[in-house]
Amino acid sequence: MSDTVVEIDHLVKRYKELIALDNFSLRIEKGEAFGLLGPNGSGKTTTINCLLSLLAYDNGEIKIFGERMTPNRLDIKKRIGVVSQNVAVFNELNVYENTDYFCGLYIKEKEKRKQYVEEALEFVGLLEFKKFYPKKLSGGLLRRLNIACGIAHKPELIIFDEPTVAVDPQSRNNILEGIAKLNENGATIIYTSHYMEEVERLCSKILIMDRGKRVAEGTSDELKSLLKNTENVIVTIRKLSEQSMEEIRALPHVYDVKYMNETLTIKCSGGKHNITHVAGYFSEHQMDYERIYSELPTLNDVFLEITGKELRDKE
Amino acid sequence: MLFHIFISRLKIHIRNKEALMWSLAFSLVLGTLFFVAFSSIYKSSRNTTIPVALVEGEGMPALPVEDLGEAYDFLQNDKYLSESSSFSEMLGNLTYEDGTKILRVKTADMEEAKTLLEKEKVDGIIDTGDVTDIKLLVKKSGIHQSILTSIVSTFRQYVTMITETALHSPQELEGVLNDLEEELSFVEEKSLSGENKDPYVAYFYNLIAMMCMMASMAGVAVPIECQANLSDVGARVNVSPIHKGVYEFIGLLAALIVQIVITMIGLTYLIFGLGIQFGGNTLVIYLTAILGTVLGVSLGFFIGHIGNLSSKTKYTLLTTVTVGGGFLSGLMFAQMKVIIEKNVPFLNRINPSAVITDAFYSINMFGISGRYYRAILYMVLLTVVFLICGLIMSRRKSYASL
Repeated sequence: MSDTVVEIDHLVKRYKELIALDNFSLRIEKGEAFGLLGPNGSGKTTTINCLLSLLAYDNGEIKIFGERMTPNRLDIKKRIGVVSQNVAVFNELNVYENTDYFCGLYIKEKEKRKQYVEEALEFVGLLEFKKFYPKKLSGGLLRRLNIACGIAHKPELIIFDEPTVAVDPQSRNNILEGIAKLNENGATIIYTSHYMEEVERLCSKILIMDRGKRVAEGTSDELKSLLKNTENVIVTIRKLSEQSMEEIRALPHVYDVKYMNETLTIKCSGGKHNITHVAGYFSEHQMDYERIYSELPTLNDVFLEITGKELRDKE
Repeated sequence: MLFHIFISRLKIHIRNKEALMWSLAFSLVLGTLFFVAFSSIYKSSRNTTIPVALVEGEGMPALPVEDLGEAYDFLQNDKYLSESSSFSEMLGNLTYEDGTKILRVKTADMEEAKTLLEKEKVDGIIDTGDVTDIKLLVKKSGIHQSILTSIVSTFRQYVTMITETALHSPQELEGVLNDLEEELSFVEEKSLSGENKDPYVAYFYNLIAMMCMMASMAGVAVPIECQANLSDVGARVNVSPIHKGVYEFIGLLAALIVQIVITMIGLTYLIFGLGIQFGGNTLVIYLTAILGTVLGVSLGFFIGHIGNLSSKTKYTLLTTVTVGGGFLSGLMFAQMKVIIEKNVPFLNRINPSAVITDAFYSINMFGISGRYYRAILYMVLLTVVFLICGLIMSRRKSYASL
């Protein structure tokens, strides 16, 4: 039996003239934490909505658990949990009732449902808030309730569509820890975000997309290995002569040097300890600098190198 | 599972204080305002005895029965004519349904009667100087004057009919008198009291009809909360394994129950709180209001499913249909329904407001009659059409955009 949980083949989705998904394909294996990374408008949410049969698409095929997904495949839907970008709860029901309500769409047995709801609330840390109504919850707690409503029925495949948008750092950390735990417990995770750090931290496999197309796919390291640039050494220094620039450019692994606003950026390809060579050069030439540090490339650099633009809008 | 969802839906409706307040406040506040605005007129026209001066001709008999030849025997045995030894006594015997006398008759000569009218001690003068030409003198117009006009006009018709029949077709007199007795009893029990109790009650019937249409707001929310392109909760429901039609049906049922309770509270407040005396059977009024509420919710349910409109557009459309429909059915301008009936009668059959209003109008004017049953039939038909169309459109589908 195949371990492939999700198969999307040559998916095409058009909004009039705009092509939102352009022959987009992906495969997700059982137990994977699969990250769908891309800037706003890249087609991540459209992919998820097509996957869930919420959106009609123009071409292609979608299979979940080896079966073709359609709006009427209630048997497949029963095995999926969705945590949407927007909080989808009833303001008139308290934390417990909301979780119980949505869990009730999947689980018939009252006792089993009660147990699942308690477990979900404990999992997201909302047990002590179970009598609270959504309006009384902070943004972070509300997000956690949104997660509880999406996972209470213990789904095999859980889709998180940008669950940390507008969440404070502490809550974001809690949410990410929770998702990692769900994955450890055996759930297959699809995680969409434009926060590369989150995807890097959570996902065992990452697909970068832009304008409805695959840009690259692999593990974080695999993606970064696509880059020529393996390390950036940044030095804050008041003065730098042209001759020094040339000498630094000649150091091992250095392929590009830029000096601007008292900041020297040295791009290196190969090796991860190029900072020692650079620091050694300044020491040898008795040149004073204010600060020196090293930056490893991020997925944003991967995206930048492939597409020529940033993953995330400057915030 | 379904019962669990149903109970939760009820909780959602009951705890939605804003919506609940608006629905309840509408009937309670508007009902109270109507009551305050119309109570003085309402009370003045409600079973009050009208003082009237009667000017009888010299030596005038109660009725010229002795001159009617072979018809005399029939007239001697006639209930109304024999029980009323004089015209004055007959007028004095007219009563409302609750036994209250309609007229307080003061016999006077013309001069004294005019003085009484001038001083507004009486509302009118009935001059029977010539029995074939009974005259009514009033000083101003009003409900009491209208009732007097109606009585005198009816009496004139009877006298003419009896006289003509007795003189030209005496053999038909018995049948004519029987018909007149039936009509007289209708005049006493229906026209002046019974079903057609009070013209101002019609405003309250219109209010109940409007309450029924207000229920459509709860109806439109049901599909909106189930559609992925209209609400976040709708998206969550659409990715769940519950059958969408079943889910919507449960939501509809919960909305219906809450709205029916709201309508019943409003109606009970009008009847028992404000003491509005609706004509006809109270149970029938309650049942009609329930059916009207079902129609209102169904209308909302149907509009909630139309096309790929935004929820805001759907609410706007619904408001247009209910308020516009209310206007066309005469809720704001009574003659409008008549104008529509004359020019585009079909519109009155498919306009839910018009159909509901017509049912209450029928109870008000004619009691449980053919017209009432026809209105009920249209209400049921419209409800069924709205529900079926809504449920068909609710089938699980993928959206072109979200």
